[in-house]
Amino acid sequence: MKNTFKAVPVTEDVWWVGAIDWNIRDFHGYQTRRGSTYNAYLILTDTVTLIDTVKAPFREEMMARIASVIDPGKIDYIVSNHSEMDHSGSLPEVIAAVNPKKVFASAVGAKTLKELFSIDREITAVKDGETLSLGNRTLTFLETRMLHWPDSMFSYLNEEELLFSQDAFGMHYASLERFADESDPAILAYEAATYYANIILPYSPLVLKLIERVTAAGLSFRTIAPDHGPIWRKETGGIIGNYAKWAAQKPEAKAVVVYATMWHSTEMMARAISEGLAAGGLHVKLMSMDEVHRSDVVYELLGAGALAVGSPTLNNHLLPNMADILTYLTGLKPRNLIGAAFGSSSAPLSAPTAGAGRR
Amino acid sequence: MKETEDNLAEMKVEKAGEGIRVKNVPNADLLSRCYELGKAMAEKVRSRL
Repeated sequence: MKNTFKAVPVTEDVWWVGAIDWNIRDFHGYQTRRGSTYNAYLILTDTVTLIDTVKAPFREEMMARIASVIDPGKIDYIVSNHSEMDHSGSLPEVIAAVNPKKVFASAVGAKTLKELFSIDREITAVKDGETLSLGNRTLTFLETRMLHWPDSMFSYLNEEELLFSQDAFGMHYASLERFADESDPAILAYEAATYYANIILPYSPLVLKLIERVTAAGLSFRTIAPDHGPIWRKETGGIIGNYAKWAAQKPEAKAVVVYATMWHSTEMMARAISEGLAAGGLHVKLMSMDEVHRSDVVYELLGAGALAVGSPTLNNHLLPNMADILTYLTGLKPRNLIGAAFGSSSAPLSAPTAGAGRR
Repeated sequence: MKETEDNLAEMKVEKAGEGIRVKNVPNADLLSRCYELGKAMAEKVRSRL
C-alpha cells in the first residue's frame, strides 16, 4: 500500500514527523480524553537531524513520515530532548535502522537512555548553552532539569527562532491539525491547562525560573514545537504567558469542594460548605469523586484559592476514591490554598481495633 | 478525617478552621457550621486577592 503518512512542514527546514495516538485515554493516572500525539521533528539542513522519536508502537508511522521527505538513512544526527519512553521508546530501533553519525542528549539523558534501553553506542552528552552546527543552521541546547524529568532539555534552532520544547507547552490532543492556529481555541485552552495541572504543576518554581532565564537571555520564539499536541506559531506569547500565570499559582476568587459520599451525609455537608463559599463571594466548583476524574479536579484547582475535602469514614479510613485524589494532589503540590476537611461516619465513630473484643 | 488533614498539611494548605465531622446524618446546626466554615474560607481567600 502506498504510504499515507506524510511529514508536515513546520518551517522551510523543519518537518513534523511524529505520530498520532487517537486512542490513548490514560497517561499515568491523567485521563487523556482526546488522545495524544508524539511529536518528532526532522531538520532538513546540511546535516539532517531528527529531534526526539516516538513511543515504540508508533515507530513505523514516524519512519513513514520521515520517508515521505527523505531517505531515513540520510539522517546524520538524532537529538533526544527527553528520554521518557513516549519520546524515546523507538530510539533503539531507529538508531539501528538509520545508523546516525551521532546521538545527542543531556548528560543525564545520555545516562538514562543507556539505562533504559541498553543502547550499545556512544550518546554524546551536551551541556547547557552548548551549540551544535548543522552546517547552515545551529542548535543551542538549554538544560531544563526536572521539567519534567531530570534529563529534560530544550533545543533551540537559532536562525529560525524555533524552540523544540519537549513536554513543555504541550498538551494531550490527537488531531490532524498540526498547528495551534488551525485548532479550536477553547479546546487548546482547556487541554493546555489540564496538561499543565496534571504534569508540570509540581515544577512550577522551576518554570518561573526558566521563564526568567529565557527572558534575561533575550531569546525570542517564532515557533514553539512541543513533543505533544499542536505546534505554536504566529503567536507564541500566549502559551508562555499562561505558563507564567499557572506557575505563579496566584489565588483567585474560586474554591473547589471535592468529596465522596456513601449515604449523602458528606454530600449534604459539601453542599452547605459550597453555599457558604459562594455567599462569601467565591466561584465554587463542587466535585463528587463518584462522578468526576482526578484529572478534572486538578484542572479546576489551577487558580483556585480554596480547597475543601470531604470523605465518609470507611473501616477507619477514607473512602478509596478520596485516598486516590489526595495521593494524586499531594504529588502535584498545588500551592497557596486555604482549606478544610469534613466528613461523616456511621456509628461507631471509631471502630474497635483488631482483637479488642477478644480480651 | 485525620488522614485528610494530614494530606492537606502536606500540601501546605492553610486551615480556615477546624474540620467538621458528623456522626450519621448532619442536623441543621451542623449544616450551619458547614456554611459558616465555607464563609470563613471565602473571607480568607478574599483577604489574599
